[in-house]
Amino acid sequence: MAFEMAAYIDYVVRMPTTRIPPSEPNLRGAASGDEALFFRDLMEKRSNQKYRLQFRFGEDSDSEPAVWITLFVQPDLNPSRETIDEIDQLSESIRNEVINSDFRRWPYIQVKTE
Amino acid sequence: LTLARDLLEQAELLANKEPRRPKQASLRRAVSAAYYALFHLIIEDSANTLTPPAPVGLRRVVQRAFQHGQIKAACKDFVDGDSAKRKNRATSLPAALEAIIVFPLDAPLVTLLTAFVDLQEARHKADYDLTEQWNRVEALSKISQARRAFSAWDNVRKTPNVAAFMSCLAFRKEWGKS
Repeated sequence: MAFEMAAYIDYVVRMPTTRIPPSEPNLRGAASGDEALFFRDLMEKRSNQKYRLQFRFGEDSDSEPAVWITLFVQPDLNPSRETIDEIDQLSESIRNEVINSDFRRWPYIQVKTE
Repeated sequence: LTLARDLLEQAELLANKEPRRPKQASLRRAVSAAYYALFHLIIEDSANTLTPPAPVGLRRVVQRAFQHGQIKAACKDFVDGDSAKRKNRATSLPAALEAIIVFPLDAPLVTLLTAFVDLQEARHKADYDLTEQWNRVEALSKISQARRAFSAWDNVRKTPNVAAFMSCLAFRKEWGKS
């Protein structure tokens, strides 16, 4: 019995240990699942043959929750006034939709060429 | 308001300076100038509204006291407050300030406030962030946004809500917002 107990203790001591994981880091600017779904739907709804949209969550220069929405456009060295106005109106409309959504995340729109 | 309008014009010139291959320096300075155009428009008009004309030079001193971060925070407060009110939710505005603002805000005022926040962040990116390249379409769209903000300001600058906004630029911290 004594032998068995010693063997048992030895067995337990040799068991591989699992470290307690560090607590999950609190990701600054991270979004909830509902937010992610909202933005995914918004990007799908607003993307078309002319403009593709992407978004990224983060924090702005004030360390407040933000979303960067990238509007991909065709490269154009000398865009017309109409093109700029169209991009401007689309940006404004997306911005307003985000501001009036249920989420407190400031939208920053950036325009990139494909 | 000559400086503000000249800066906006300068932004346009810089964005179109090199017709074929725009230099990053030109595009970045163009975006920065567009932001500063709007900044000077707001602070000059605010100083003129909040301060008497005498003694000479007082308005310039008051103008110098406005802070970029404070203006951006006030813009966000007003827009967030408007959004909360539209959804019948409590705002984070100090009660005394909330009581004197007429909601919903006029659309041109929201255009101006959001443009300021957007352009300030763009200015940070243009001046400090070299990890991303600017293109002419984006620079021109920021200038166009500033231009729309100028017309929006012309439409609302004499309204009571803008008077509250201007006062908020000066006294926001003292009105209980951290």
